[in-house]
Amino acid sequence: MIRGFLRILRSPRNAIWLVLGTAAYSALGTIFPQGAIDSPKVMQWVAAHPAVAAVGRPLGMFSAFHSPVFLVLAAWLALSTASCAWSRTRVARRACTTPSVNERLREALRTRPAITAGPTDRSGADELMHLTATGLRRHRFQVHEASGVLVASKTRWGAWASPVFHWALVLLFVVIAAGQLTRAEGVLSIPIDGAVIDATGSYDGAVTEGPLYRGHSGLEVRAADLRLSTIVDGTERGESASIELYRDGKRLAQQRVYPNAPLRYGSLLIHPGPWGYAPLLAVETTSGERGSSAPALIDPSRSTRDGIGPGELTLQNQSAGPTVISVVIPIERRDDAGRPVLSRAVRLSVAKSDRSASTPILVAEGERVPLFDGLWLRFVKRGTYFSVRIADDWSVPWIYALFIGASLALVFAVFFPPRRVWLMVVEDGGGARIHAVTREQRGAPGFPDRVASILSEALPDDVEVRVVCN
Amino acid sequence: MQLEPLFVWAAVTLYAAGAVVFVVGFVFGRESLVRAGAWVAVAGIAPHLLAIGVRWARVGHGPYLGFFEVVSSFALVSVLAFALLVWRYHSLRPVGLVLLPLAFLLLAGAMLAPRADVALTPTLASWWLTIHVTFAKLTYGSFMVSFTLALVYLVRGRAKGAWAALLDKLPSQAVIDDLSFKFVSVGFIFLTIMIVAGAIWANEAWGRYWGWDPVETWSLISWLVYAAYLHLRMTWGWKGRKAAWVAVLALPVLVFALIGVPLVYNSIHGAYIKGT
Repeated sequence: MIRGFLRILRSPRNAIWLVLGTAAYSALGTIFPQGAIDSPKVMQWVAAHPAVAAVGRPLGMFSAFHSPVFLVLAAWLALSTASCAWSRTRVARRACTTPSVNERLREALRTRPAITAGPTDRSGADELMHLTATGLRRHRFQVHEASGVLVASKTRWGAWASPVFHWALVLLFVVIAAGQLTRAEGVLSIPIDGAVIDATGSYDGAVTEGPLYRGHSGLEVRAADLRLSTIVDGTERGESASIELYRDGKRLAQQRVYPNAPLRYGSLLIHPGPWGYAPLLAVETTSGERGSSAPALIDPSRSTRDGIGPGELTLQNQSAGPTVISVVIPIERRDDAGRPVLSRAVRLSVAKSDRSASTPILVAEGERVPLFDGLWLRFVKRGTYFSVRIADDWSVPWIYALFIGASLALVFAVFFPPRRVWLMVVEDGGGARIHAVTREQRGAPGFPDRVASILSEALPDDVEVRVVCN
Repeated sequence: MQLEPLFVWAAVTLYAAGAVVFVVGFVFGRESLVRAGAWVAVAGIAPHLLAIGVRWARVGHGPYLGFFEVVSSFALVSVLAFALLVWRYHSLRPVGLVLLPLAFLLLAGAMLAPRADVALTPTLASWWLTIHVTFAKLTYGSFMVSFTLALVYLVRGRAKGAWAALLDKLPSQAVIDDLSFKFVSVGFIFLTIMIVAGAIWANEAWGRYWGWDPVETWSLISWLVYAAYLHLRMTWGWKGRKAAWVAVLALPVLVFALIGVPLVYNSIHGAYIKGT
């Protein structure tokens, strides 16, 4: 059974069907929007194409590239490529060893030469062989004699290009899979001039973590100097902020982050996200003794006719239970262009665990409102935040390197294939001739002509060199 | 006076005239007409380059945003590929039967599309875009030449009588077959670099190197189809007619990936064709 499986893996025919099958499956996958079945994008598409959706849904086509069918195809392709790489490695090893001159080769030289030179007398033929060897060496062929046959070879190392290409592809499969299993990605919202720790609990909403993810870095991520317009090299780059990474109070990295200019630190890649308002709220006692404080993050795109928000903040209190504070920034007026001019105050409403909600109260910067149990809620300042998308993925540079390696190997496989020429003196009734057999790994049609021109250049003018059509 | 439309009209007129004269000359076996047609079409490169240059200076980016810019640049690549190929292999002039009318049709088609200026967004403002787009054009050029050579191979294989005589000046079928393979190989390398540059750029801009967006997926499909061609050729030893048929059938996949996908699908890459 194992042998049968290995035979299937090694089969070039199966490899072709596998490649074309993967291409066909991928084409099918592009018909369906990719995403969670309850995402707005997918639901909208399902409503517009109910018949196609009814077929695609049970087949898992809405996550076609994470489905078991695709993963099996990819794994099979990886194993098939590995098997192909293994057999090509063996071929390359054979090609690099000095070829033995056997009877079959002699027979080919005698009866089916690709090139002939001569005729001449036997002693003259030896001289011609010497001149031929010199000519071939001049064209960077390595020449040696084996059992009366002159063997010339060039770019023998080219035989390794195809195995290297295939092994690079195999490693690519492995690195991509390992990268997906060990990567994490999520969005952190950082108050400007504030800091957030890179840990699972700090991320907004869902953070994607691979099953083998080793855990977040625990670095302190700081944001400062938010700019709503950033001009670099004369081009508008949108919003940006200066992001800093700290461990134990020591700054490890700092960079202004905007589209196409992420901050790199180890396996972390930090990209800009949207910005927003972050009114800072603090709980304090009647005497003004400060307890906990936190920002309520407000997405500026969530606006109503009279305000922006709400942003919500949940406070945990032993006696009152979880209390949700809702914050809206009122729109004071609109400017001549119709853009909202925001108030410096915020409108707060407090919803306790018993769902009793207070009437919204307008609170100015620095003012406070009663909360519960003699505690007060102070609106400290109307700050802003900057979101960053943090991807922790060690595999990316390796993927690039493997792709570059594969491309270079392909260049060598196509343009520097191993070339070999065997030459022997063959005597017949008309005198002695040099017979040559050529082999170019790719079978390029011009190679015998090229060798013939080298021989013509090396041999005296009166020696006729002919390419024979076999 | 607006110079860009003037240059575009000059280019499309020269391409059209060149293609017609070339085809007529070829069909009627008039060498002087074939030569004149080739020169007229190649002369169209100058106003075409000027049109692109003027537009580049005005909009602040190269010819890679919006249907007009993309398809017009593919027309230019087709004529450049013809000029370079014929300069290197003089006897391959008959490839102009495909490349020259194609260049005219591409530029004429581009002119029918809206020519609105598309501004460079913060995500697009990257050197990786330039590398990605440059290799996309080179990929198209290489695969288009391999397609044309494969087509010439197939037509010549079946040509009889006057057509056979017309195609007689071409290099041997083995050489055409080998050249077609070489262009597929070069195109495959360019396609790989284009995909890698795109992945690096996506990682810089969006924080992920691959997102299974339709444009990304179709570029992978093109890669797989041409990988199948190379595998068939290098492992199975497919040559001649079989290999030529694969090269001919593979090109529509690439053209769809480069031009068709953003028109058919909702894609985050849509801006480069739709301009929005």
